[in-house]
Amino acid sequence: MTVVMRAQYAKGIEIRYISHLDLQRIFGRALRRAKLPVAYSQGFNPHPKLSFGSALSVGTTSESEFIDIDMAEPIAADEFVERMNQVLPIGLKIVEASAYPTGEEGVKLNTLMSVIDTAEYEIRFYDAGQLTDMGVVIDKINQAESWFVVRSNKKKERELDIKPFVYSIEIKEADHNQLLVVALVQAGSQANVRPTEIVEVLQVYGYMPVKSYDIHRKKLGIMDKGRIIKPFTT
Amino acid sequence: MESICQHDILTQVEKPARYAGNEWNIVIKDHEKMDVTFALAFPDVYEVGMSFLGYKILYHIINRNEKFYAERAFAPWVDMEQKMRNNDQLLQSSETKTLLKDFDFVSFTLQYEMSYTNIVNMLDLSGIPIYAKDRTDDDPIVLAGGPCAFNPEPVADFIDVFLVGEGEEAILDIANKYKQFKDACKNDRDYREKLLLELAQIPGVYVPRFYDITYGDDGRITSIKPNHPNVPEKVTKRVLKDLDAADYPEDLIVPFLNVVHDRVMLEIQRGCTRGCRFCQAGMVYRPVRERKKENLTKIARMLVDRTGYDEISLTSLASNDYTQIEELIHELLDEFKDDRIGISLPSLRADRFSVELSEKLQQMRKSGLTFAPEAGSQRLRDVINKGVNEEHLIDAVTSAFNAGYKQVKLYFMLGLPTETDEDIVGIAELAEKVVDAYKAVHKGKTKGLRVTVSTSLFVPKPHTPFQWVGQVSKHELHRRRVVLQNAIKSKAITYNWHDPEVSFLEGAISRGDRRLSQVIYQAWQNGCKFDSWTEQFRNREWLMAYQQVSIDPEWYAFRDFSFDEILPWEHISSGVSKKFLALEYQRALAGKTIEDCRVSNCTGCGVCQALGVDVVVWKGAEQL
Repeated sequence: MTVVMRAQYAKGIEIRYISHLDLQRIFGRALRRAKLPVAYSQGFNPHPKLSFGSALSVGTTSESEFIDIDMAEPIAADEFVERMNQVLPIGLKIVEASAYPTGEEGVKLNTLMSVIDTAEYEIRFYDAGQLTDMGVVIDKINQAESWFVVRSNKKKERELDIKPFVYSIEIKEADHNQLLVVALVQAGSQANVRPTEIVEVLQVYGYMPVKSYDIHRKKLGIMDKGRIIKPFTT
Repeated sequence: MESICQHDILTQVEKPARYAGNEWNIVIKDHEKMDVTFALAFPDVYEVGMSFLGYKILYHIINRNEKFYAERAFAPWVDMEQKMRNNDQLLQSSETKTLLKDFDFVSFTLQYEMSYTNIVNMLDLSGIPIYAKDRTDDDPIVLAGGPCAFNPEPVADFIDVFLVGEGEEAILDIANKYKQFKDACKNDRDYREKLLLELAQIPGVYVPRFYDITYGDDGRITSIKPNHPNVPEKVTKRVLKDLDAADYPEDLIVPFLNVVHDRVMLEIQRGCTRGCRFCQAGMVYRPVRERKKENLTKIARMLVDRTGYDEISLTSLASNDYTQIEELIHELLDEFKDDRIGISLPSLRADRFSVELSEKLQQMRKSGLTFAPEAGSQRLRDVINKGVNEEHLIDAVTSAFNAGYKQVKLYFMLGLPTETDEDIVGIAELAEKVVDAYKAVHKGKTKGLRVTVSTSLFVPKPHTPFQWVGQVSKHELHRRRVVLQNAIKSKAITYNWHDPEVSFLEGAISRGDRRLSQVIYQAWQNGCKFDSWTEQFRNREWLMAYQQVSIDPEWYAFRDFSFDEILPWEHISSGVSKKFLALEYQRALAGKTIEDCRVSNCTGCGVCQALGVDVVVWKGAEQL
């Protein structure tokens, strides 16, 4: 019987510039240091079988990322969390984990990629004291029928209306000369809104002046009756 | 907390992880509580710096002392530099983001000459005066070490203190002396001058300001003399007597980025006495000192456990020469058989033994095989004392072809002393014989085979038997390349060459004297940096710099230095005697080879006698 360890982890300010690809290597090495019984792929260059929920862009912090790790032997989730947190670099921390026995007698576990569909972002604007009233900005964007943003892939640029994929954009607090915008959006294989596109919408449709900002992913998971739940249920 | 301004910058540059720090195994200390602090500056990008073992070793050796602190700093890539300059930011350390100018020492690793403009640039970005003479008591001591410190002169105007030779013990001597002196004489007048004088007493330490160089009308050096009674006439390199007794740092930093050498580097020995006459490392890192096999297995286990790496590279100048290499590999394979750890040998000797060893390590599917015969004919290989013969090479490739390899890379140098067109045609002939060997294995067919011949321009290096020899001119080099190109017949052979412009500038600096500091400064002013990066290399600006300061690079690069001439590095000793080097050059001209003192008799290079050290070779637990 094989076991999949599903874990929620946080990516802090200390390692926010690490790319998704580098993160995979970091997990592989941490698992080795922890001497956990990880399942390896077959082939000439065996590597641990890891799959992630959703790639986080470089520079963004998060307190809610998810990873599935195939274990070669059963191991208690608590022990996994404890041992991993001893060997993870500063800024990376396992928050919670759950072990799922899979295979013939086990449960059917859908991949993170296939279940995760929603994210909540906090976009913090700095030096925002002289900003025009944010209520006006929000009104303006809400009046717009559609929010076209530019998406580019390797070959071409195209315009896409992201308004249908955004649940809400709110102002949460406004002190210390800062402004916090909270956006609840679709995120996953069906539809995906990037937090930088929310900034684009505020600027283009709400006429918000350009300010420095950083982005934090507060929640990632499954939309269930208007709120996000973690992908820990099967 | 990182400022939003810094965040803005880092989200706009390529690979921001280069500047972010926080890797596994880094050391964080409180500067306030430290006696001595070092910024270990590497004059190239992060991914290159983090691939040098010596750099990592120094970091851990300094940090092992509670009151000493070493942090890292790298050359920011051009995009980052632009942002820093636009925002008036100074260069900071990787660990605690402390400004480099606030350290006690800023030390540069001198790995290759073409990184010198980056040193100037990093000093400038740090807000530290570029010329040593302009620094005051408030500025850090700028230290430099590494292989290029064996000819420190071209950067002597920028560096306060050089450390010649192996740094493990000497760096601590420097730190201790610094602390003592600072405690005792902090308020003295001429503090900096006195401190430098104090440091100059440490064996292996060279402080250029205490040496005067005079030049004759013909431009040659007429004297190199200390200008202070308390400094030695000659600075002799530092060397570890017993490498096996030296600590091996086990908590090596594990980078987040994919660096050039991203694996456990297990230094199995130091030094190489094969005696290739062009090779500086082979001369200056003598004598050969092996680590004990048993200790290596223990160290390897510890390193793997502490880093989480899945590959161990057995590093040294010529790892196949380690006396018990087969036994060591067996032990390591056994130790790690359940851990999915790959073991690799970085360089391959051109013989069947090496190919078989490599097969045992299952390196074969990763890439083709690479050999470096360096010269095309047996005559010229004897001249350079490269112990490769055709039979062994053909044996090696045959064995490789039988094992399924289809790609072979062959490295050669053009412009070696005494080279004739026959030797050059010999390169093509040797490559054709490799093709024939493939045909012999594959029923006369060449399908799938790729033989790559690469040539680079010979660069004479200080402290080698070829230190007196000039490079061939660009025109002549071009002619020789055409000779080789025309001699290659088989379609299975591809011919590549290394950019000769860089090798020419490298040649000029490598045998350069103190006057070249102005050229390097001027080249930097002209915009040169990252000169070893093809896309950044600015040949025109370099040549212009030479013109601007009225120095002829050809005089340094192409000229044969005479035997009675005072060499720019005359006051620096690697322990190998000049007499031996001259004798070796004579033997080279006569085509006479010399044996390896690891396995044969002493060849009289003088290093053991001069430095009170010995060749250390292990057979079982016994020292041979």
